[in-house]
Amino acid sequence: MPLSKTQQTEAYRRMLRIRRFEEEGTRLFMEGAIPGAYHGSIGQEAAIVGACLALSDRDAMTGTHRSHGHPIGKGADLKALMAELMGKQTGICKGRGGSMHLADHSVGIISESAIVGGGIPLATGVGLSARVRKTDQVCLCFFGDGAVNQGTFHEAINMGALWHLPVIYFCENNGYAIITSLADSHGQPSVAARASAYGIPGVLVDGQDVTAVFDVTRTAVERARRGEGPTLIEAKTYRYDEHNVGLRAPRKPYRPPEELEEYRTRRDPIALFRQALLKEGFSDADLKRIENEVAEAVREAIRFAQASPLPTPDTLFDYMYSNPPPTPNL
Amino acid sequence: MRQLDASNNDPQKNGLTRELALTGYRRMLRIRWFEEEAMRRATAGEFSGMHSSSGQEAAIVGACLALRDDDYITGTHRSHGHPIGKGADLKPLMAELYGKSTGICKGRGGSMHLADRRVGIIGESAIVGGGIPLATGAGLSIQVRGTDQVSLCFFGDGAANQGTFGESLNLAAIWKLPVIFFCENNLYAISTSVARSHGQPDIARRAAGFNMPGVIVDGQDLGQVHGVTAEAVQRARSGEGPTLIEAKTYRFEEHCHNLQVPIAYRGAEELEHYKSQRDPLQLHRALLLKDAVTEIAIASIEQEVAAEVAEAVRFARESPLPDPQDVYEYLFSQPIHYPPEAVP
Repeated sequence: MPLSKTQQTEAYRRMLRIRRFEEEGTRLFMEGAIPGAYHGSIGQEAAIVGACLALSDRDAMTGTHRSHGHPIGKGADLKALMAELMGKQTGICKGRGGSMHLADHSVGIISESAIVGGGIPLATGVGLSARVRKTDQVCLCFFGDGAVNQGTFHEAINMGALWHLPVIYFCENNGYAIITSLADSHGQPSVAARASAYGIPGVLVDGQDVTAVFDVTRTAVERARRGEGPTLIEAKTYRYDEHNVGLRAPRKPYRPPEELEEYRTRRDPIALFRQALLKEGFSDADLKRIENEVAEAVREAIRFAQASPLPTPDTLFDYMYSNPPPTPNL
Repeated sequence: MRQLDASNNDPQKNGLTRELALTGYRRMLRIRWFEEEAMRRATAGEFSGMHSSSGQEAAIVGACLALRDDDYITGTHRSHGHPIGKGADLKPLMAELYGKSTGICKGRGGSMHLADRRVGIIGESAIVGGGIPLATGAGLSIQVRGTDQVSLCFFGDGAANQGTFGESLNLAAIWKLPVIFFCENNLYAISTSVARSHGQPDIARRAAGFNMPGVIVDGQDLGQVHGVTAEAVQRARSGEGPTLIEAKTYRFEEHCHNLQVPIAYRGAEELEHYKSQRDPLQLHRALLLKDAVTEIAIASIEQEVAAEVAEAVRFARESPLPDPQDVYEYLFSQPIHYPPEAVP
């Protein structure tokens, strides 16, 4: 099913929001304004946004250490995300989570876990919860190619398949687990082919094509809502930056420069979609207007984050327990 | 994925020579009678519980007969059959059940850890799925040392849902390790059926997810199991990597001795069918007779095995328990010297 005109506008807007947010975030990280590590999603925007657009607002999702794109793709407000990167009290996790945990509950994200493969059983649990509560919610589970080799993948997908849980297992296959290629780490290089082991459909899709990703995810969501169980989707995509910003891979180059160049110049998901939209009758002015709006939203998020206070030390023990025990007097 | 049927039952085609067929019968019988006698001894209170392999003998022995003495195997909590299948002496095994110092693990391991190094067993682990990465590691060791050994890994249908299964099969596939992943699928993880716990009931089908061959074989047919395992061993020795074999089999006893299962998880007719129609020993005995082995030759094997089992029990009973002074022995390769007051 193709995207409607409204959805196309929204797809372009959200992909751009991820791109600009990440570009500005990277700059702020290099300037020292953002602590910790920074894992950017630049290059992977179509996979994220195409999948998210197939969900409704009440559907759930789980993400990864590369956690900025997922809430933005699901439609989150940028201000609380940028504030979280800076560790501010107004951050989406009140400054406690930082870059790898942009878990925005307001858009259905139940967690972004930096534990590789850690989100897969959580998403399966969400599917079980939806089943037990008899809702028609589904859960979209993002993970990377590296996570596919974790035992959690095997255990959780078996359960999802066995109980026909409404889960979409969505692999953002960007080709490299940090610096380890699939050829070096996967006995079966096709992630989608693993689905047959569990008796569920496995689908391979071009992760640089937002329309194609939307289409296959939409099919998987409908299947899940009908109670027919999970689908494993493999979106072939690419990350432009290193695994994390500033990482220096110590040995020989793990990916050829021409490969990166090819993706940047010919396979960029935003450039590809912009061309497609122009061909479909959107005017350059329409798109420029969206681009300006997005740039302003990102600037506004940075202003908000910079102006927000850091958490005060006396709140150190807050938000740890639902029934907090007495805290020591510091 | 390949599924074998009755047309694959030709012993000649399966490489089962007359000599191997007789060795196979002897070893299967050793397992059966060792287990039956051990069950009686456990019931009499001579040692605590055990997990019986009765019914699964053809799967175990058929696989082991395809191996050389210097090949490795790892096993499971259901650990008596594996060393016997690989050719171990029964006395230290029975002594281990009794917790005696002459036991194969000097009385420290007990029923679930009959790890007889002399026949290549590097570990019988009661951790479900725990042996799969160990066998994969043994495969890596073989590759690093450049020998032509192989490592065969026994595990059950329950273990196939452990994360260790996915992780290990992937590593073995990517590095083309000489490992044979051998699932004794006896249909029930304690009381949970494969249908109630596996998204996809054919375990061998999972091989496709790791780009390795997967084969389903009749685990009650010694020759068929030997044939597919020999093929997998050949593949492993020639550097072509691992194979996943699923032997459909059945256990005649409960998951473990004296277990009272509160639910009827399997039908009485199903059990009766396997015991009367699909008993691997009866099937193989009939085949031997058909193959012109005399009743006398078979009876002489049976007498020998009965005597071996009786001798193993006598040996175990007469052996001493470990000395309390030795409680800290065998824990570390370089023992720590404990102060005298710490030794009971």
